[in-house]
Amino acid sequence: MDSPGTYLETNLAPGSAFLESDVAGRQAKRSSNRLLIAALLMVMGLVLIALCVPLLPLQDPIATDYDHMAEPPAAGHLLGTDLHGRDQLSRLLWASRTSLLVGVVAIGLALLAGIIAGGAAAYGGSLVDSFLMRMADIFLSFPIILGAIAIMAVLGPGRRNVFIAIAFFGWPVFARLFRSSVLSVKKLNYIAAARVLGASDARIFFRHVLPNSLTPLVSYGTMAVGGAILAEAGLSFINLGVQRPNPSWGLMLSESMGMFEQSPWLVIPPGVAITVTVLIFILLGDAATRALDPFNSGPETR
Amino acid sequence: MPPNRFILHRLLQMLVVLIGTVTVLFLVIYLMVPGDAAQVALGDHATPEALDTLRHELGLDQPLWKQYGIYFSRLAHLDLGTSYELKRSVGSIILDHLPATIYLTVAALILETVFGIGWGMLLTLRRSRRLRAISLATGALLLALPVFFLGLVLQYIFASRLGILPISGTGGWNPLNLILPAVTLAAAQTAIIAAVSRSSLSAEMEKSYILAARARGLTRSQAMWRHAFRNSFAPVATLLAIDFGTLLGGAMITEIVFSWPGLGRMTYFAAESRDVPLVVGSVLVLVTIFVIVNTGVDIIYGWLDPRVRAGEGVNG
Repeated sequence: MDSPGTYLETNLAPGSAFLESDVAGRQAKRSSNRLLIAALLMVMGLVLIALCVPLLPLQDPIATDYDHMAEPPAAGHLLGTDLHGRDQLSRLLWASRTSLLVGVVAIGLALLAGIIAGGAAAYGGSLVDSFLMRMADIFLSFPIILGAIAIMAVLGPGRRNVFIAIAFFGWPVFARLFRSSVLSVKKLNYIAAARVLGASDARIFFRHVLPNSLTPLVSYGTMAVGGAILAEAGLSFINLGVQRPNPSWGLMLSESMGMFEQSPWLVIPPGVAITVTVLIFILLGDAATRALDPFNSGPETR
Repeated sequence: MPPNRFILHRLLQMLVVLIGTVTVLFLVIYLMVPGDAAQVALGDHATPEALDTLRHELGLDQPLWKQYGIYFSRLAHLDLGTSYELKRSVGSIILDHLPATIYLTVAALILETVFGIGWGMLLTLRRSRRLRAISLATGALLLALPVFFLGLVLQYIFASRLGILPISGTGGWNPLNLILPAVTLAAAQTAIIAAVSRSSLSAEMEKSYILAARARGLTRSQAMWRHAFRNSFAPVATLLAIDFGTLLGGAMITEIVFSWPGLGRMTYFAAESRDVPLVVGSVLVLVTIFVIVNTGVDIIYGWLDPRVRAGEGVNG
């Protein structure tokens, strides 16, 4: 597979194809910074909501009430109740915690594994390098949901296994990115300068190479969080992810399949919640790429 | 690289990836199954004697490397094992469901090729900021929409509300059944194809031979159709090949939403009942198709276009 670039676009972060889309003209830098700030604020808003959920005066998201099943939105239940009489708003907000947790933990694991593998490939000599990169090829040949299904079939469903499944098939892109970025940073003059000044290999790696090689991982990783949230929703939708009665947007949609006509309040809010959350992470990743790209400041060639 | 060496190189690479894939799946099954496969197959109420017999049959009493050998030689004979649930050979079950999935995937691939490239061309020819902003927003939205939500919304609008399309596909060859699932499946990838074909096409339109063509009196769109389009197609073709795999894998959720009787939906039922040989078998088949298609497209392109062989990159 000779074109890692195209893999990036299809693996966890479909949005990276949009990186090339451009903000025209000289104001590129300024407007990309503005976009970055807006996207950061939105992500912080999401995180804030997720953190505050336990403090809000919400009803129990798990307690069933079979006297009030599938009731439309009203004063007591602002988004209505689901098929088990549970408060839809409360479930929706509690599920945001699940989504963000899965996104952050799964991508965190993939990132960590990717840095270790990518660093080993960059430093370990050609044999280790080609072994690890062929491994990456192999893992990349699994469309993520299929790989996840295989793992879930073996390990059984559940949130912890969603982390494992996503990280298991998510690390290779991080490894490739980190490897190529370490290789290019290693060649730079200031690394040679540090070596001349007598810095040890470990010091050079941790003080200079590592921080400067992380940039491409940041923007890809941000989008990958969106991808992981989509993957979790998908797995939960097909009952292989988060298990009942725990709240998850994918699970909520799966429980209300076929209810669109009678009870749209069961279908639209979780669907919109997933879409908006993923959109925000795509935007942040996109904005981060532009803001971190040193070549972005010049005017466009066209 | 000369063409023959390039092809050989790619084929060898494919072989390595396929063997690796099989190994990964083998390790997934044999190292991760809690308890063991015989227990999973027979359930909790199996007698110890029955377990021992099955373990022996499955070769589970052999050391790991031997099991790996057995597994490989079975695969070499195209034997994917027997389904726990259906007690039929995994291969025949897969063959029953594969055509419906291929049908759906190919339809989605055609949709995304036509609309994605068309969208990319439009953005290249009409360089209006508003159009670009709208398509950026639409594209990001398409990428963020989960397939199952999009599917449910389309079902509601076109089947329940307007009543012009059937709500679910039976997998038959009636094209009306196909429209909604294919659109749902193609939506996100269409946005990616559009972005890639736009950037590749715009880069091509900057080259001097296009300027020369324009100087000869061709309009921008003529220059694009006659010259730039063909030269800019390689990255799109590579991406389409990869997409074929993404779609095959992604088809699962679409198939479930639309009750489409394909491999994905079957695999889902198999995963639910933890029918490990069936799940692993169909994942293996799908991944193999994916890897072969990718290699095929790479080889065809390497053969047609020396820039690819030279590893110069697709925008070279």
